[in-house]
Amino acid sequence: MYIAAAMSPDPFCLHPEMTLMQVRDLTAGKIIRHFPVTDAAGRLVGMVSDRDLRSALPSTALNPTVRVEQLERLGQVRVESIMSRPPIALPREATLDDALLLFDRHRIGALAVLDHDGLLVGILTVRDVLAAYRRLFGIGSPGSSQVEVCDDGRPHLLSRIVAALEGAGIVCTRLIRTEAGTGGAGLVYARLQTINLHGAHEALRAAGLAVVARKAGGAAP
Amino acid sequence: MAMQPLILMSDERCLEHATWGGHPETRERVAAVCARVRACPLGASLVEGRPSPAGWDALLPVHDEEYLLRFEEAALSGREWFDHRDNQLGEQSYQAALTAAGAGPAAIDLVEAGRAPLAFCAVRPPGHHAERARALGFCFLNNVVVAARHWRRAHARRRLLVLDFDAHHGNGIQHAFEADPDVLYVSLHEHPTFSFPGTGYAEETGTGPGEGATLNVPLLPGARDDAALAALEGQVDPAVRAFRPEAILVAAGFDGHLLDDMSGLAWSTGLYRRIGRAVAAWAGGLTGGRAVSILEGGYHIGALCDGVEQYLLGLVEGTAPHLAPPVTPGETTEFERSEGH
Repeated sequence: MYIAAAMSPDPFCLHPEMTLMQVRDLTAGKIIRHFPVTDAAGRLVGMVSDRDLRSALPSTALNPTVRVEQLERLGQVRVESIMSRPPIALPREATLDDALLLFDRHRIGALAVLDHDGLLVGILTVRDVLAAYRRLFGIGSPGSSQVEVCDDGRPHLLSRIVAALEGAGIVCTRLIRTEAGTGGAGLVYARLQTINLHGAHEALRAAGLAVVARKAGGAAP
Repeated sequence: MAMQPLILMSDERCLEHATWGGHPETRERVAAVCARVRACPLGASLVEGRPSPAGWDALLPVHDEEYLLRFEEAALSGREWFDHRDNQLGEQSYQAALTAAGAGPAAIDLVEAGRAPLAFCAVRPPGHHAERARALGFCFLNNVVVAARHWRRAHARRRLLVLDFDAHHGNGIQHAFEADPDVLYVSLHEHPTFSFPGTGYAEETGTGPGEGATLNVPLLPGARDDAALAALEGQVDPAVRAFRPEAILVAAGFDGHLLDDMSGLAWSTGLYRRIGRAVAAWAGGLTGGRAVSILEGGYHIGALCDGVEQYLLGLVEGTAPHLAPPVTPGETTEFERSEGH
């Protein structure tokens, strides 16, 4: 799945020469957590988070006279002096997995999405990625259940699982295979489009596969 | 010993909904449940009723007209399943589903006429997975939602509790009422990460004006009576008492039983008696005794019959405290002992 389908297009942008006072006025009443900063040609030059902005604003705990003086100084402070650079960005052809790795490596909450010419086309947040994976896995959509099958070490495990299920007319929408770890066997988590757990278990067992018994607590953590 | 009267709503047309090839939702389920209820100690005090098939005036607030026509056409044209292979059907399935959907309203009318405050509808096909325009999980028409709409429209009972203790989350009931602040939907079910239909996470608490009027209690695979009882006491009871319903509908499913291989829950038969008593206590304290239960799942016929009997005994003795012997968590019945549990 590509990030272009998950990003928010045409994000609210700042310009490097804007003052923080202007930004404060422009964003009053808006709930925006990440602002790409673009130059006059629309090229990405930096990123500002709402946390960067809050840190630059004077504390409300300050003496009122001191606070007013500091607020007035915001009229001279420009976006370019607080923005993060180089900004973290991905091309629109990048995948959700690319984005996930980047978020994890840089500990960031959003990244910019660029077209072939390096122009900003969107912004992708951690929330966007979570929502995209939720859609991809169908989490929360009615109609599916899960069975867990033990890795018996014999060849063609995934093929045998799918063949057994399809032979019983059961649609399998995803398989996730985990390797055997310390003290535990490898497992395959199969997402099925059926309520008929009895039928799914029967089909898998008839194919010689070992199904994890949920009544006994299943593959408990 | 004289028992409290109980309305049993059933109809042989429900048995004519055809399934085959080892399908778990069989006609034998409901035939066996009816036989057991008549033969058990409750049999002598039953008020039996036969429903009229639900009319379109009752169905259209719940399902789209196009969906109803599609369902009828699928059944009458000899299709083997509808919307999904799980939902097998035969020529009589549409009539059976209309009859099942008519059972709740008929039971409610008898309750409101003063024949008895408690009713149980032994019907199939089940209903709680059926969405407005989609059959799902053996369900075609949402029997509980049809009953809820009827209770409000025909008898002006505005605030309803819908308790669902089937092992699977009742997505169709939740979606019908999730934005409605006057219907408290409470469901105990196996956790949706593992179990069909994959909905009913604890964070689903209602939407818009209905925020807070949905209570989902997902239980992990292997959960036994103690987990269900802790949820009933710690979460469900306070929510019901705070909500103060005027009437209670129960989506009564028995597939959470240890012997039922359609879920990962490991409940004993004794738990269903405890649930019956809890419902009776809410009914006695809050709704003038009114509680109508409608059968949902339950696929191990022995465990289903035992569960229904114990649930109904709990209901009846709960409204007549002098009849109630103590029940301890994990209590086993003759059936469970004979099965080696």
